[in-house]
Amino acid sequence: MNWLYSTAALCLLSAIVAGLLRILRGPTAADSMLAAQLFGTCGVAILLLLSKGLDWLVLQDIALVFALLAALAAVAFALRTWGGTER
Amino acid sequence: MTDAMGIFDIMLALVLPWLGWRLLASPNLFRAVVLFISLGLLMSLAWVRLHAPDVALAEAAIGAGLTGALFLSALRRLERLRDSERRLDYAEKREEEQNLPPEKRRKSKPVAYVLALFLLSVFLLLLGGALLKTPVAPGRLGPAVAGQMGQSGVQSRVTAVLLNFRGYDTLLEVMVLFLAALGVWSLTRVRQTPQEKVPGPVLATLVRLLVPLMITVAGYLVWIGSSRAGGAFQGGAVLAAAGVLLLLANVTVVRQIPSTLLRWALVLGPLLFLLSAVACMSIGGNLLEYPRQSAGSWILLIESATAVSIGVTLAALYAGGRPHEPAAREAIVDKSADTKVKNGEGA
Amino acid sequence: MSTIFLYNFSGLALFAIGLHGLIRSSHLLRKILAANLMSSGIFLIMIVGAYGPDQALIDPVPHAMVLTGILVSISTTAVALVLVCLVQETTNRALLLQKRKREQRGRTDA
Repeated sequence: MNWLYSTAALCLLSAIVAGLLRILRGPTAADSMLAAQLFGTCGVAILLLLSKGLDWLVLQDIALVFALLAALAAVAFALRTWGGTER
Repeated sequence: MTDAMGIFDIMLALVLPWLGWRLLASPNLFRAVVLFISLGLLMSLAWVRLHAPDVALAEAAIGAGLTGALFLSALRRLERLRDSERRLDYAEKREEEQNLPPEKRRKSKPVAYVLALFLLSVFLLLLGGALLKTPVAPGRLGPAVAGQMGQSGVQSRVTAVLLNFRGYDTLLEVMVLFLAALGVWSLTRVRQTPQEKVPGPVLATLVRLLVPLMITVAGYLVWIGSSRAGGAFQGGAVLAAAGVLLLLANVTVVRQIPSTLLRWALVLGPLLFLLSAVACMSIGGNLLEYPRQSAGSWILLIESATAVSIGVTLAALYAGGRPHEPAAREAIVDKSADTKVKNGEGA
Repeated sequence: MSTIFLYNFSGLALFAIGLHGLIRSSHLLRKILAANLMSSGIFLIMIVGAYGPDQALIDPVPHAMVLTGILVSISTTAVALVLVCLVQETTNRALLLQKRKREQRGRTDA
């Protein structure tokens, strides 16, 4: 596996770990949720990098499902939780 | 090159338990749920690293998407059920303090706790020891499965195990899902959403774009399941995501689906699975022993029906109750009326 | 190769944390989260057990079992969440009733 891909994947994972701190600290619920959304994006990127690096096409399917379903939690949040705090 | 991936593995393996710890320790329930969604995502990456793409697909659909929506909606419902209006943050902490007097809360029973902790650690040490002692023989059943792939009718080994070699398990598993839906339906009704709440332009566009895409991807996953990662579970989960999105957007079409149709969709998969299992016997094989030449078609048929049923079941589980009958819809307006109806039925 | 087996301990730790949380936390929603953590830990251990350095050496049977397990765990979670909502609806709190019962028993004794 190309060192460039694996290093980039490692950096993205570090970004996720850094984002975890934002979830823990995040003053409002929206901060936490946006951090979780960022993880979805990072996850897609990691999967695509691994797919390219390992030459493993299945990972692209997983990235596709990830990208599709990450929106779901965001919508659930926007409708069910965020709308609730603004009552 | 390997080093970077090694660090990746170590980091992931360390972050997972840390995340678990933080999510249970967090005083804010909402934050715990968000951390849980992130945990699902990281688990999915871990499955990829462990060469389990099928599991990663299912986790991506269920762990990172559906479970999050499920928990967020349940949290919202709990919030709404609560007496007074409170901010989401620290609501739970306050509630615990309010409901239980301080001397009852954290009523220290140190002996019991220490004993529990001690037993827990002994148990875990034994478990860890057992894990260490387990002989590492890669692919114990792998060669056996690989040897029989020729007569399974599919190319994907996991699908072959799921629907052919151990089809019995999957049949029972589909039944478990069906039972879960049955349980939820017998417990509550769907809470009536206010009619005037129409989706805004952003949500409407999102639904219009995403739902057809999700349904297409679900079909693709079921189809591709015969040759590589994918299958009825993953396809069904993505289909359920489309259903959940429609439910969230409160689209009129979803509310007007006749409940008879819904019931048939719930039963379709388990019924077809069961019928084909019995049909195999009548042809001359054992239970779920498909005829060798047409095994692929049998599996595809069962998978398609099961995927539809799993999708509907998971969406119904998300909705969290049986749908209103058209006649009863007007009668039940608010929560108090709902509970009255329930009490009447219980009596 | 050996780093892969690190996930074994990760799974064990998740299971332990989940078990601890299940016993220790009072809110029912958190108990459900804890039970989910436990199942994640078990899945992790099972998949590590199936790992092989080569694609052909990977044992697909645990993979199939874990797939089934994920679906079962989400369905049980959904049922549990509905039950929690019902508990909150009837008792006005999402906690187990043990403490309140003890109070009532104390009152009748007195």
